[in-house]
Amino acid sequence: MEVDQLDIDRPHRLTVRDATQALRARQISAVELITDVLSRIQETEPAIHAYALVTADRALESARKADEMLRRGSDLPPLIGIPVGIKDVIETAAIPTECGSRVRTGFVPSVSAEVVVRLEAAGAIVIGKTVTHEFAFGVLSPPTRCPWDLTCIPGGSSGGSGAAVAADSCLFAVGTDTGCSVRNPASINGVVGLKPTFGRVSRFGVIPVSWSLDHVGPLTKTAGDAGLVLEAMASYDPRDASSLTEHAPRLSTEAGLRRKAPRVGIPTNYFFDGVAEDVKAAVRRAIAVLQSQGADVIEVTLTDMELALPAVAILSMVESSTFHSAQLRRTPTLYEPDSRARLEAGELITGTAYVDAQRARTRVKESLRKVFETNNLDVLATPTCPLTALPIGQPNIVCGDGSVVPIVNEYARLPCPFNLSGQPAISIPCGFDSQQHPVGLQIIGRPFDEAGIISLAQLYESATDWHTMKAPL
Amino acid sequence: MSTVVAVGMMANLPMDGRRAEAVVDVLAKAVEDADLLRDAELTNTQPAIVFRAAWRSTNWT
Repeated sequence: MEVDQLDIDRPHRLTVRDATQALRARQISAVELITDVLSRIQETEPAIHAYALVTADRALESARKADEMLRRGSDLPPLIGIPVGIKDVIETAAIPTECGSRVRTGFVPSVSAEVVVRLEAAGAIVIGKTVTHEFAFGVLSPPTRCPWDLTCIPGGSSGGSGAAVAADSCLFAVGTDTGCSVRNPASINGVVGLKPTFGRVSRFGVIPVSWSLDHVGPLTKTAGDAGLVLEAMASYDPRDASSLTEHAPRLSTEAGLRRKAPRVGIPTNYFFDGVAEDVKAAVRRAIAVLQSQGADVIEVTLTDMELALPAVAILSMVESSTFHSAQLRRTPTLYEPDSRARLEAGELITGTAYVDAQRARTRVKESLRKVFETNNLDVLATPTCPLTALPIGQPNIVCGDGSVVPIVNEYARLPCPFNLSGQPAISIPCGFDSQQHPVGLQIIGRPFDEAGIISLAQLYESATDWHTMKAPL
Repeated sequence: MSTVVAVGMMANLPMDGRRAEAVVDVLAKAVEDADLLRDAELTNTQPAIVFRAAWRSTNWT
């Protein structure tokens, strides 16, 4: 199948699926694709700053090799010639990995993270390292800006990855998600972000925030692309203590709903509380679209969700303080003040509080399991975030009840229960608020059922065109 | 504040009064979170076994 000439003329705008087809049909070469994406990076970077580092020479060299393989034409790997941005907490051999921190200035790993090894083996070409909030600790991701509104933050901590995909300065990107950090920037930047089942993608070579909460996942332009990429990323890896032994799903060929009328649970509590009216309205419309496409929509009530955010906060603070303990004492002044305070505070949280957080995790997981089983649900659907992109320099928000909370807490409130439960969850674009900032719909599946959430997301995309909208850059 | 400085110094953290102020702000929120969890009646709840997959992979189940 050939790709439209209009898209071929602007290859940076292609999806992974279309680019793969165009490369195989020899409508475009890998060098042409990489060159065009590098031009796009030059064009957009002065405004959005999505990249910590662009690896142009290396990418072009890889593209020339990909073209050789494409010319020979047999046994082609699935992502051959596709440019990817890698979040800068994910180690890349011979390419600096600085984690957005002066602590790691100039650090060049000798080996790549397993996820990078797998993507490169699948033919993907690393085009650069995307900006992260320092050590993935927050949602501001400076100096990156939201491509939809350059006065706003891109979310985070994978803010560079989200902004790069939205700006078409890569065909897909990789991020990490401890409480929201793939799904939040996906929602804020109007792209797709997939947090797979806990353990599905190896974290070997990924600088941790929290061993018990971290997930690695793709940010893409469509839900179908998320499946294609996840299939290449997923693997059992004995070097990651939480790695799943289950075989990764064949998402490119087996994606499908368990039944014709999937049962979609809509929470009546917590997930719509304190959500901006524009966001609520967009998500309600998205649910109506799913219903019109045959989904069986059921209202459900969840218990204990209010425990999720405090549990994630304590687990991630204590575990990240453990990881940074020695470095914090060696080079305390090299950490940004907010990171340093967080790491110091994490050392002073009591052991009993940590264990209580793990107990709360049990309660959150159990509540979610019961709701899925009692109602025979395939998925839950919720807003990804209560708010859209926020202005740069705004540290807190005032909630409806007058309380003042840090932005990170509000952004993580709806995605973080699924870091505790380990269920797969995807954010897809579902509209805009009154400021033309993108809104995300979060679809959460049963453990191991990435195929189910991707298929439902594709069903939604087939009936709408939000995922095709481009930031005004 | 002085307690945080003292505890921080006992933990060999490079802490002083000025630093402690920033840490106390973060810690205060964590204490609120811990209080909320303590009040959640977790009496019969065991901690999640976070590395379940690893146990399975080594056939220790």
